[in-house]
Amino acid sequence: MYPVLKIDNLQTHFHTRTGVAKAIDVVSFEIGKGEIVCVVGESGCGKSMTALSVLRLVPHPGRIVGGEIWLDGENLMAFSESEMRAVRGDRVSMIFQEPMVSLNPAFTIGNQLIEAVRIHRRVSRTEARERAIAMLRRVELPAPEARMDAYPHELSGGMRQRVMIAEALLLDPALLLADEPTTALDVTVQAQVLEVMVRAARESGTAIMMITHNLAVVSEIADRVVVMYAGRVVEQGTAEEIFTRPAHPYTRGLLRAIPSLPLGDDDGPRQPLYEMGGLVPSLTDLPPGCAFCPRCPEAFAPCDRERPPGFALGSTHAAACWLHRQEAER
Amino acid sequence: MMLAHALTRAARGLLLGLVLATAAAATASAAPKVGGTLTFGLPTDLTKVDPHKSSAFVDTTILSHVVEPLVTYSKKLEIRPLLAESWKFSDDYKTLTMTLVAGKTFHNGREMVADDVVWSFKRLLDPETKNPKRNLFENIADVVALDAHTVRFDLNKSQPGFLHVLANANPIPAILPKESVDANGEITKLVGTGPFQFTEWKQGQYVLLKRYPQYKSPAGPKDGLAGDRTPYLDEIRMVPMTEENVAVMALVNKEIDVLQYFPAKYVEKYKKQYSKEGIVLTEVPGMSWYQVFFGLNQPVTSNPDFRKAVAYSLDLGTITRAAYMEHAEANPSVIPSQSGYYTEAHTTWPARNLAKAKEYLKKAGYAGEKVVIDTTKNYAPMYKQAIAVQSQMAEVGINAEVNVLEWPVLLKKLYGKDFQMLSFGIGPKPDPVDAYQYLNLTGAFETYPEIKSLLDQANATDDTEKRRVLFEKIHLATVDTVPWVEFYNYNYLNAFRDYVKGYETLSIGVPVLWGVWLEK
Amino acid sequence: MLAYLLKRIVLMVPTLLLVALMVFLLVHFIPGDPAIVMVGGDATPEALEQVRRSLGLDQPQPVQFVTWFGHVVTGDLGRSIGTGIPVFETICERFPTTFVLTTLAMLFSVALAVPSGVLAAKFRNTGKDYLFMLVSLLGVSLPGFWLGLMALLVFSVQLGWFPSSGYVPIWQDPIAGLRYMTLPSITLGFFMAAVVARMTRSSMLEVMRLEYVTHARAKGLTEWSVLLKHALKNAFAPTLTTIGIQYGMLLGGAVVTETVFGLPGLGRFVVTAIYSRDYPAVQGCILFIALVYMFVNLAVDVLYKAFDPRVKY
Repeated sequence: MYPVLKIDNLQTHFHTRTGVAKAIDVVSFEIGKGEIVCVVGESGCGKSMTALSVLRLVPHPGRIVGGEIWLDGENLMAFSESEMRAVRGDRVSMIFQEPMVSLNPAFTIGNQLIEAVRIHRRVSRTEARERAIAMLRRVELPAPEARMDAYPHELSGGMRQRVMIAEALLLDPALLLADEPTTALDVTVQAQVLEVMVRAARESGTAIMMITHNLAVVSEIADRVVVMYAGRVVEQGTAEEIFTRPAHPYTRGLLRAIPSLPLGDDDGPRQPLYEMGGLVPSLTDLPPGCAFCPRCPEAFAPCDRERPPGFALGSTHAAACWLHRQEAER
Repeated sequence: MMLAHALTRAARGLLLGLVLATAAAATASAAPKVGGTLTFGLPTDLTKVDPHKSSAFVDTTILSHVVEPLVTYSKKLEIRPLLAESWKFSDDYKTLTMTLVAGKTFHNGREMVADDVVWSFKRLLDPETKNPKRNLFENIADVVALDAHTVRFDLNKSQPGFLHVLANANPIPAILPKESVDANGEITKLVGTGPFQFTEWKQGQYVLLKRYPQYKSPAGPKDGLAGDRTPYLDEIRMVPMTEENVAVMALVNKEIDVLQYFPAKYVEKYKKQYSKEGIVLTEVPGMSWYQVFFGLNQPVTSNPDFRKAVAYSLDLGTITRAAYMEHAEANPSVIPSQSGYYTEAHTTWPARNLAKAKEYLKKAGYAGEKVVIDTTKNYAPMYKQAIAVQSQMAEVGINAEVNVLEWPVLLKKLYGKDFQMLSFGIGPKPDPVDAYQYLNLTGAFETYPEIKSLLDQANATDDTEKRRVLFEKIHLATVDTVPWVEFYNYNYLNAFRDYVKGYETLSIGVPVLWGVWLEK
Repeated sequence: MLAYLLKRIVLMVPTLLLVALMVFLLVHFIPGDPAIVMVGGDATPEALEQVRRSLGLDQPQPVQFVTWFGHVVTGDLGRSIGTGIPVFETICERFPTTFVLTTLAMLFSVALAVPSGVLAAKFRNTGKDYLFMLVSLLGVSLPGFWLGLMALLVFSVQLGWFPSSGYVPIWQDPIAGLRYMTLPSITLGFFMAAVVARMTRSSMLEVMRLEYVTHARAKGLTEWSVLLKHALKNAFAPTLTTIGIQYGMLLGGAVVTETVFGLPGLGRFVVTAIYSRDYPAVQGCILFIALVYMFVNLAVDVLYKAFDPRVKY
């Protein structure tokens, strides 16, 4: 059986006047059926661009310059534009970060939901409408019938994001790309919205690729975690592996930066909040070795010259760090 | 001091040749035909239907076909009968008794009688009428109807030239029926005695005139505005063609049959192309006159030696061409060459002489002070001539500056005698006395009372010979004192389709559409 | 909604009052007066004074204002000094022409400009975009006068499709009227279109950077649906304002177009009135134009909500 999504050596570059920005230097990972995979990393590390690359909606002047994206065993890179349109919104759907601006302010909720159904299904408006209302009910939006005629600005942020979730799951897609779906929301509703999204996705068997920098969220929902840094995957593994045995200094840094997480083997007194020093390297001018090297507290001989490949630390765990060369070779 | 006039004379000869050729062509055709509609392109829209209130020349063009004065002008600008068939002055020229034509009817069918004459002149004089040219008629003390067909004008002062007042073209002292005004004293539908009836005015679109079938024409052959005035055309549509380029297109497209003012810049194109496409162009020497006035009360220009220096710095021919190309005749006198009063003396004027100009400047003690020439772009020739004057004055070292004003502002400065030099132009004045009145705008009557006294003498007689001598003297006085510099009279360029027969424009600028017919 | 309309209309009253005062002051402030234009270059200073008196211009200006405004309040704009015809009658006769001209021009310009703006935005920074924008730059910068003459030369003189002069009101004879209106409204519309197209393009580009456009694409919509449904409706709101401003301005008189094509519109009349210092005509017409402008503004504001539901009254 194929994985739902297999990203293989994806490269997405932006050709700008100042040079080529390697938004995705090279990325590979897989998502299995119904699996929830969280992609974490600082902003600008290529998380969102990975999601847009999957839909082949990289904005101008960006372009996918290499690699393959497989959806249920089909290579999306070989799809025509119209075949891609059939994928978008039906087999793969996406939720954006800002529900304030991701719903079109000029159309009613109903209009946008019905449209989402009728792009891909030959059904009547009434049928599409009923389907939309049922979906709104599933995401626990109060008074869904009345909301159908409301404009986005008449809804709260949490309600808007429920609408987005409803729309994304209307057609039972195989994969949901969720780009920081709760970041913009009020803290009090973040958990509810997240819960609604995960439950609805599980009900329809939809796999989720969840982009976030909130590790608390990751710890709650992720089956597996992909850690990205400067356009590359630096570590991936099950949630348990990542949280209890983080292998890459960057992952460790990330985890230490979180105030309220129990950090596995660290039972000592609570450490002051850790801040990683240094800056993310410029995407137009990546260092020849490990991109994290300039900031890495554990850097040694090969790090600034040679790029570390992914070293397998187990059947599901891997890290791109020279620290683990021997481990992997054993 | 004699002006070398040879060149412009030659040009005039050529130009008259052109006119004669077309006139001959016109008379060669067959007998007049009744009927048809003629579309006539005017430079602007009618401004007012009421001839007693109008001061715009375009109104004269239109309304002279609808209403009639007591007397009018022949082609040579002599006074001829129209509504009055005969008249007699008292010996002191203070009383004029006129006998009206019998059986002349208004367009409403009623006969025109002496009471209508009385009513019309009282209306012209009534301040409530707001007649802008009321001052023209101010010498009238009373108008009395002696019987149905006899009226008497009593004048305050002796005025031998009074008939020119009655024949005035702008505004027309028209005889109107008193039933044509409404309760507010306004005329909304004009009723006259002329060969055409006023039918409709659509603002900005057209004025429609229709033939008055019962029109009773004066006897004799057509002669200017006088003589045979029989209308042949069923309808005349007068359309404003505000944009001159479009006006030419409309003529080429046969959307209009006659274009009253053909732009001079298109004459070359006419010769090359339009003349082969059934368009006829006539060029008639006109009587409008253009000049620059000096402010005799202002610094620098109050000095006659300075004004003489300016006169010597200017070449009238060059200025004329700058303003009108080849389509105007340089003339240092207010009396146009076709006038009966025009004599050799009126050609007298300093020819351009830079050495003399500088000599006079020295004499005037001119030390490079700035001199302002006021003008306007609302009338292009006034601006163009001002620029030419400025550059010629600069050649002798006069520091002149052209100051472009809006027309009403220019007028305000003119009436306020608030200018050093003012570039201007004035419409036809058949009687030289009226033309010389403009000297007053420069302050010349105060500064040079002898000129005023010569003018008063001319005004007090109707002896042509005496007047001719007096006008020569006045002209020579202007040569000595230079209160103004007269430049030129421009020609009327009229273009029309070749099927329009019998059309002509008079030297006072009025086109005549009675006696015109279509040969289609 | 009704309450909003009422409120806006009531608010027009003080605005109009202010406009009336401003117009009066402006018109009387410029040098020269109607009497001087009436008598032309032909009168004695005494005659001029007489005409001035007969027009009531010898009265102090506050008195003149009160007299005029007193009449205006009762709906009487007075008579034009130039034509002797009541100003209101002239407005009624001439405004419809300007209205038809401007409305046709506006429709033409929207039909031309909105698709151009959308296409330019779609092909942004490509040759096609530059071509569209070059044409619209021409539209903005070419003098309307010249454009009008060229249109006449080609379509009237060379091809003979349209008359170069004359006029039949479209409400008297729609077919003939349209023949007279086609060239003027296209010429005027071309100018308007240039401005509207640039506005459409820039607000399209603005909108297309927004997340809901990416969202629309992620739904699987075709690029055209994204542009024409999701982007355009949002981008049209600012464009609508531009159209409204232009429309309102030109309703005051498309002077150049009216002059070149000899249309008996209000603009030409107002210009003539200003040149001849025809105080009642200028004041009356400008007051009327201000009122029209206010109503166009109101209409734009009401329409705006259709494109941007976030607007509240």
